[in-house]
Amino acid sequence: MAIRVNLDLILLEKRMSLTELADRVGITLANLSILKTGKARAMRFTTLEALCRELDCQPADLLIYEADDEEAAN
Amino acid sequence: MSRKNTDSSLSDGDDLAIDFDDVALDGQPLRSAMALDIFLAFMNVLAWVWLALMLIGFGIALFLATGQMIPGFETLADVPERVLIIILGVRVTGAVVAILVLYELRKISATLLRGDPFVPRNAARLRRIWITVAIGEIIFTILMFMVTVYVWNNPDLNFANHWFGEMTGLNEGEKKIPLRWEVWSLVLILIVLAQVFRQGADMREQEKLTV
Repeated sequence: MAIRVNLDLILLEKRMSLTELADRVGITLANLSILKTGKARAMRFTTLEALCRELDCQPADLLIYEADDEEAAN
Repeated sequence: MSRKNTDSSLSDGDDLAIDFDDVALDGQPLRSAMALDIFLAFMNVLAWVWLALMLIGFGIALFLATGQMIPGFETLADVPERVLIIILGVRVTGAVVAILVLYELRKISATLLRGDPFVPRNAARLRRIWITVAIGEIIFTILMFMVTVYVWNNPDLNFANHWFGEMTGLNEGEKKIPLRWEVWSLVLILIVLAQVFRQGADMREQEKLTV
């Protein structure tokens, strides 16, 4: 997946655990893990909004585009 | 966020490692799904009883074919053994098809009770159901065609006013190929439903990975 969710780094900066974020945002730890491990196929605007609100950041801080090897080759 | 996600362990083999259902059913299966499950279990028992009876009948037909007579079955003396055996073969096939279909339906019903029926396995189950019904119907058509041709070629056979003729429809006397369009219509509906389910399962998989 060319889009990576930069959740690890932001959580480290904010000194917040994944469980705490899950509680604050109101989504399950399982769903947050899917997001963190890059298995998610899509993210709802409502989720993005809640994450930005609780982590006090912008969507661009959370989402990083990295070209895949195949795409880079093209 | 109005959507409520709760962790649960759906045990349908090809689901994700992390399973969760977001069914707004307060975690309780629908009452109609429970009623359906009970009804299918009841039908399953009936189908097995039906199969047992038909197998007993099949055994009796084979016994009669040896030229022996069983007290109480004298009226079957008018029915040629091969017709009797084939007709009971048709009934046994029908019972086997019913049992196989009910088995798959009960599996689908179980996923309904768990609150997540749109899994790839259910699409495969619907596919197996229409294939089973279609194969059963092909066997039915071939066997009944054999009987019909036999009756055509033996004009002295008269099943009119005979309980066996009434039970099998062989008393009608009209020449027709035993094609049951209603069953083939059902197969067509099942094919469409299986496709719809497959796409539904794909969409559900996407939904599961949407956070």
